Amino acid sequence: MLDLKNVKKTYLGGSTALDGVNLSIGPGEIVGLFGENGAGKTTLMKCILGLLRYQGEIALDGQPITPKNIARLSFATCEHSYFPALTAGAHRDFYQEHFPRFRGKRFAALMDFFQLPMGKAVRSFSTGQKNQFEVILALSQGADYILMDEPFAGNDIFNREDFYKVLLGILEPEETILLSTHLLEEVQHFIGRAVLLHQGKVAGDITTLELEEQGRGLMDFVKETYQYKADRVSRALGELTDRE
Amino acid sequence: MKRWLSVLTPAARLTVWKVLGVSLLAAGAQVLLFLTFFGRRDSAGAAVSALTEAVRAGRLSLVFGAGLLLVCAVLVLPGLERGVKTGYTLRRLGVDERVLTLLWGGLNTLLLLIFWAIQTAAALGLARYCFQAMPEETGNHQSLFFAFALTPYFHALLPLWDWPVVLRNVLGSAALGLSAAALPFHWRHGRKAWTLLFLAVVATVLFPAPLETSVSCGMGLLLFGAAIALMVCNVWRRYDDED
Repeated sequence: MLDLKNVKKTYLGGSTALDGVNLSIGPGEIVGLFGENGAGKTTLMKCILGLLRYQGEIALDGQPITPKNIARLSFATCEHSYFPALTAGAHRDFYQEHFPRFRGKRFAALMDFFQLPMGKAVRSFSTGQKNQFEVILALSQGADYILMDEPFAGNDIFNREDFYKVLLGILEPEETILLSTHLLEEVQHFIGRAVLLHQGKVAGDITTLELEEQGRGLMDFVKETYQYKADRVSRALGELTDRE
Repeated sequence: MKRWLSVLTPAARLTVWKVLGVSLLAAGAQVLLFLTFFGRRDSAGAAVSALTEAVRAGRLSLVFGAGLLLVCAVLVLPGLERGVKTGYTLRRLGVDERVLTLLWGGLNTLLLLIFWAIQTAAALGLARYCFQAMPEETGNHQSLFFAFALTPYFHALLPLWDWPVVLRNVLGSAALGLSAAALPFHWRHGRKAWTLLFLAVVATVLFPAPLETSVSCGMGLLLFGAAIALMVCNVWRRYDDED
């Protein structure tokens, strides 16, 4: 269980990125993390990974996250965290050495599925291939909690859909995914729970089962939570037209 | 142990061939410059003076300095985050990021020693060529020894019995190697760190040790020794990010 209690993050400039986040994510969950730009999604992930200092408590099965248990978390980010000069094969060897639970079979299968070259330096990959490789590494590390921050930015729709399908097929029951994305409609059938962040706070937290029972779609839930005004565009256009 | 060695892979892939390339390029440039100025020598002089004069006029120590600065620039590459955030991975490895930084510093030191060795080999080759090219009566079997004792740049490359200079060179390599690894470490954690630039310039200026005085050698020893101690402490205690 990944537990966050009253997690706060204020940057040196004084801006508050996280304002008392409470969240529990259990084993086997696939959680979508949504929110507008600047809502705190990336900051939240970086705090979980210990990449940023924060106030509050973050615990993994009751233990603070330290170098001893950090390998239970993996991270796929649109900023990319691989070594550009290494080949995919060299990454595999490197990860095998540092992450004892590295899933070599999964790595090989995913590399094969996406037809990524094993012997070329990753820097020579296309943007889409780099994203795929980043996610492959995160999925193959052998982590219990896989954090993904906008991992498919730059990939085409077919590519992304393939990936969701493959992901659902390969995940073990105890593997947990926390996926931050703006592609709400795309992932709604893939996730089991949606967490909405707004101005550094959890504004909504619901399972897709609950949504189904209520007869609502994920987009409706998001719009309601954010109090989205549907007439916003027409009013703005009207005002603009009047002025002219 | 294997895990520790494996953290060197990302750094080694980016540096080894480049450092060898720069080393050979610097040695090649020195050979060319030396031959150019050696060809213009006064044929009446002694072999050792002809060699010393060609080394001085060809400004071989400047080429060495330029090569050293280039090597330092290459050594910084593995830790730099150019379009990627490798730091996110480095902080999740089985080896502590600080230990990894020190290991990369060790690898850098080794590469700097290789750079030094290649320049020394070139200097030895040039000296041998010089004595073969000169008439036999202008030199004797001790000329090579004198050449490396009396030419400041050659003496710094191969200090022979001069242990303080040997120690200074080794400490200089370690200080430069460590700071080349520490600089991107601090950058990754949002801190400014320019020790490398300062040390590289000092090492370049101090390298062709003047023979008459041990002041520059003493200064180098003190400076490089203090820099190593400070850098290790700084890497070890300042782990948290500045946001």
